[in-house]
Amino acid sequence: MTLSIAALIEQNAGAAEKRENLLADDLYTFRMRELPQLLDEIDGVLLQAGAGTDSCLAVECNNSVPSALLALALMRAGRSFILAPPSIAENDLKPVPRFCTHRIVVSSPETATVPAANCLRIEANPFYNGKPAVPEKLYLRTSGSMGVSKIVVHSHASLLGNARNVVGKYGFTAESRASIPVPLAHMYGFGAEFLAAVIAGSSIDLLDKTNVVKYLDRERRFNPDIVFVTPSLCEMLLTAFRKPRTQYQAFVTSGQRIGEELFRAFDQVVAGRLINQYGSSEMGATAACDFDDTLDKRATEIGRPMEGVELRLQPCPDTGSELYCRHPWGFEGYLDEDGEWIAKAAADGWYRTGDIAVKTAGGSMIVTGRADASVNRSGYLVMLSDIERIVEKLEGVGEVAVVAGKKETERGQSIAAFCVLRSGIVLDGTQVRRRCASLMPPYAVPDEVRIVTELPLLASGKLNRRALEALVS
Amino acid sequence: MEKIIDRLRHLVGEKLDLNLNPEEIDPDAQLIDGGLKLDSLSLVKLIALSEQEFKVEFEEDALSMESFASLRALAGVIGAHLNGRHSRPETATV
Repeated sequence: MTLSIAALIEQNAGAAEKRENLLADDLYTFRMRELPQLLDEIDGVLLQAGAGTDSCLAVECNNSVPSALLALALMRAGRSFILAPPSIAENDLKPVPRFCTHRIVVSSPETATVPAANCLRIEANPFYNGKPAVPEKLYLRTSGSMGVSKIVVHSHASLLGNARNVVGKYGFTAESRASIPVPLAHMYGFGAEFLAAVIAGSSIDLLDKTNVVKYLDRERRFNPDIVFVTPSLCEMLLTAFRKPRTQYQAFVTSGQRIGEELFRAFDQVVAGRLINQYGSSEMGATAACDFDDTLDKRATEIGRPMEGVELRLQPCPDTGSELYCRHPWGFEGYLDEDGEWIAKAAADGWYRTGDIAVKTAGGSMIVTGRADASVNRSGYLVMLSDIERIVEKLEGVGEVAVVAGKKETERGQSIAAFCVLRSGIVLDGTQVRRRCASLMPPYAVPDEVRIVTELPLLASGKLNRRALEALVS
Repeated sequence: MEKIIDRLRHLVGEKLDLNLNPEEIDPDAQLIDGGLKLDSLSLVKLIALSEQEFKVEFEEDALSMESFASLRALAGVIGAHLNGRHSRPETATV
């Protein structure tokens, strides 16, 4: 059966067991039966702003009802759009891909008396390159943590196929109450949890800028039973949950590997309902353990592949075996900012995840690391080379090498930067670190910056990263 | 109350790595959305630091956006408890 958002919206609005279900956020609360009318209003606002059905839109979305309605309206009409997290500041707007005709910024009003459709600020993209929109695509930015990201292409059909797998895996139904504290602009929040809840006709509560006290406030009000979180949020909630939780059917975590100790502690608090989902922007939800798997399995293994998904290991001499994935609902490829293909997904469908994994005796897999040099910090995959690129542009800095340390910090694995200064420059590590803080997100700032006179090299003349890693271990 | 606020200002200024001088912190500034703009991690730290500093243990109901609206609001919650009836010998419950 082919799914369509248009049909789902109609079903959710009409079916007796779904029509009174909620779509809510900090401010708004709507019933599913109201959605067709609300989406019509959004269509009207888009048309009025000159964003016709042949335009491709860049949506800066927060976790709000207006954002969710906009995404549903666009999918209902088979329109193409890119979802991106909101710009941090008005005077520092994120770039809009040049193949998009318009930028839409979703704002949060002061009161719910403002119609949801009026929360959209629509402006023409002055750098639009004239490329015609390809219908029924969703574009997502890869989780490039320094703004160096590629654009992942999915079809609406593959998104819905992916989400349908999620529905079955965690048991979303019309009675489910799904809380979404993870960004709607990412595959995990939008493609996995939000669309799964829409397919099942569940009630949905969107949490923007989640913190523990906001989570607790909303948990008291909405009483969710399915929630997708990140390991960092698990860690924070662990300090805030002062009594065990038995109401949850599924507490799903993803986005980075969750530490085993944290998994076990959190699983106990949520009565054994914690599942670590394995996935990516490119492949969506790929694998997860089942609730009846043992705690040992759930805490360490990636679990059973989602329906139709195949996984295999490919031996690699330098790094161990790399994990490859073939997904019936995988991505189509990567675009650049002009809408030109950087790379198409492999013709045979196998995708290199970049993860190193080992097979267990039972045939499941455990991810043990990354093939490329990166660390997970506060839920973001941070490429060490991206940090190097920023630090080497600092005034006075000559060469730089960034390595991951062995220490665990509050934000994840530690990061250390080694800098060689230009001659005549006097700077200390603290000063360099402070400058880094103004140029990159807090989770990417190296925990330690050391000034050195030269970087250690191998006989080949290449940087000796192992020597630097030994210095910080 | 003012004493509690003062101790909270020092906690925020000195222990939260926000580059803020305790004397400059406005006790009525919003802690989260505007004002001091505590991120989620700093908020968790503030909860833990407050519990240590005042030897209290917040109950879940006290962990609300209202309690953490500003340092003054938080001081109110802590103060009400310290003067209240729920104290335990070592650790009190707010």
